[in-house]
Amino acid sequence: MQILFYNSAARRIKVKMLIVDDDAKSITLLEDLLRLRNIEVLKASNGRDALALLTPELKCCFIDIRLPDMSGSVVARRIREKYAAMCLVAYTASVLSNEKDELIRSNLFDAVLLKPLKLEEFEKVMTALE
Amino acid sequence: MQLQQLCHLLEKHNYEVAAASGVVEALGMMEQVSPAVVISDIIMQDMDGFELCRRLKADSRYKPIPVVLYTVLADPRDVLRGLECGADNFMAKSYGEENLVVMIEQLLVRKSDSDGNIPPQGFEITFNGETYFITSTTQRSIDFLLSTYEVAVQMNRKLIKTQDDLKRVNSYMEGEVHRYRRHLEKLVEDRTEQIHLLNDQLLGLAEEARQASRAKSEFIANISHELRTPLNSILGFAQVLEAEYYGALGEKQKEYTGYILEAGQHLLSLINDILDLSKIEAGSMELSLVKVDIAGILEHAMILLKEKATAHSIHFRLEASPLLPDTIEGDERKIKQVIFNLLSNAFKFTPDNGEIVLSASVDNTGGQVEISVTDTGMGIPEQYREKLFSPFTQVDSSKAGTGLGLHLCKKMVNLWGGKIDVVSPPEGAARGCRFYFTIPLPGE
Repeated sequence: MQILFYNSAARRIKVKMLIVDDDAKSITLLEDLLRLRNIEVLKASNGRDALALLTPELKCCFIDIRLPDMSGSVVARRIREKYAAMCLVAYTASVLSNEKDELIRSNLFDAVLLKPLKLEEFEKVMTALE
Repeated sequence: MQLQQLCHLLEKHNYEVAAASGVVEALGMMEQVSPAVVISDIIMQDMDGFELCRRLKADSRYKPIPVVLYTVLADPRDVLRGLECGADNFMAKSYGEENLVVMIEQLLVRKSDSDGNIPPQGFEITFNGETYFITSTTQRSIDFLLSTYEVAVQMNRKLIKTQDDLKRVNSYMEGEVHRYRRHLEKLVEDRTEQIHLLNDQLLGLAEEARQASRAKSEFIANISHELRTPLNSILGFAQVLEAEYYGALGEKQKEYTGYILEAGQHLLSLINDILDLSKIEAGSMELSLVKVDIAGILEHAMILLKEKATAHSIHFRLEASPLLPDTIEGDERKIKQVIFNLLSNAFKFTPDNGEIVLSASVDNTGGQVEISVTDTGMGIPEQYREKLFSPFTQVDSSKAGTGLGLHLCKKMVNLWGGKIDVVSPPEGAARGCRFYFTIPLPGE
């Protein structure tokens, strides 16, 4: 089952998204799933690199919460300050109820993808983004 | 008794004593005994002591014998009656031993002095409207009055002594009471201090426990995060392979990918259960109470498991009592968790073509909701019943499971004060078992 964008807009301008995660394999998993959808992927393994890669044409950022240099929430807040409309998705293994509550209370993210990732959850988030 | 005491006392001082219990008896004994002194009580069975004295003094044979009246001396008229009857002396019943002997010695000396004394002249005395005719000699009268005075003084002394004794006892008692009160106050102070100390210790312990609990929660969060990160790769890439996004898999590749997913899922359930368990053990698991639509949860469970039931031709039914309240106060996530746990066990152990019934009812008193899962599986052998809800107890270890599910269920049900148990085989059935748990409803 191949999932690709077939609408004309997608063919003209390639959609760009950013993944920030210090676990390389977690990036690869998400990266490949996005590439299958013909999305161009930028990658960063820490908060500082992620902020340096920000461009206005990024449609969405997938942000790990436990980053080595700063919290993913801080990265999200910085991005929000610059690009209020950018779509932010938390991509995290912090699934304990208090951690989730904190994410929801912070009101920084449009969606949350929990690790281990479920393909159907990923599909849901992608559908919501379109 | 007093008579006997007196006898003993006198005999002890080497007097010979003859006792009589009445006036007539005493008079009858006079000649034979010929006493040196007569000691007489005032109140006796036949006549009084005054009468005895009068008769003795009227008899010339006995007139010189001193008569001592033995009395409590409560009435001044007794003094006059004593004088009137010619008695020689009064002796108080409260006399000490020493005084008594001294007095008797004196009487004996005086008797010899006054033997063959001047004949008596009589005179009248009126007291309280009564007239007394006194015939005693002046000497005897004065002796007699002195003896009464002495008795009075003795009694007074005794009274004073008694008062002193009382005072001493009183002050001793006051001292005791005071000491006792001090003792009590000290006890209360000590206890209060101990309680304060204990309280401080408890506060310290509570703070330590809070810190330990915080540290534990943090540790749990870290472990959870660290375990999930590699699982993200294992389960994530296995899902991508299984979805065949990068080309079709061969038979074995499909099979192995399935195993990786299954084992990964199992590992994930273990992690989840252990985390839940440590949260309960750390006391950090709390109920988040909301309005829960029990019937809704049950229907949702039916929908989720319908496919699985159909695949194994399992007859899967819901029996929800129409008396169920629309909503109850409860922790929705945990109630779901318990229900799914019981259902997943039922599906694990029910053979194809078997039956699973999910039911919910309200007890007669309306005090609690009971939710149960009944299956037609192998049932729970007697020897497992007791340990069934302990961690890592599995009746059949060949079935997938963490061995923590029922233990967690029990912990959760206990959190809201409910009960969880099993009946195997269920009432009126030949095989299988019925797991049930309760959710108490708030009183009216």
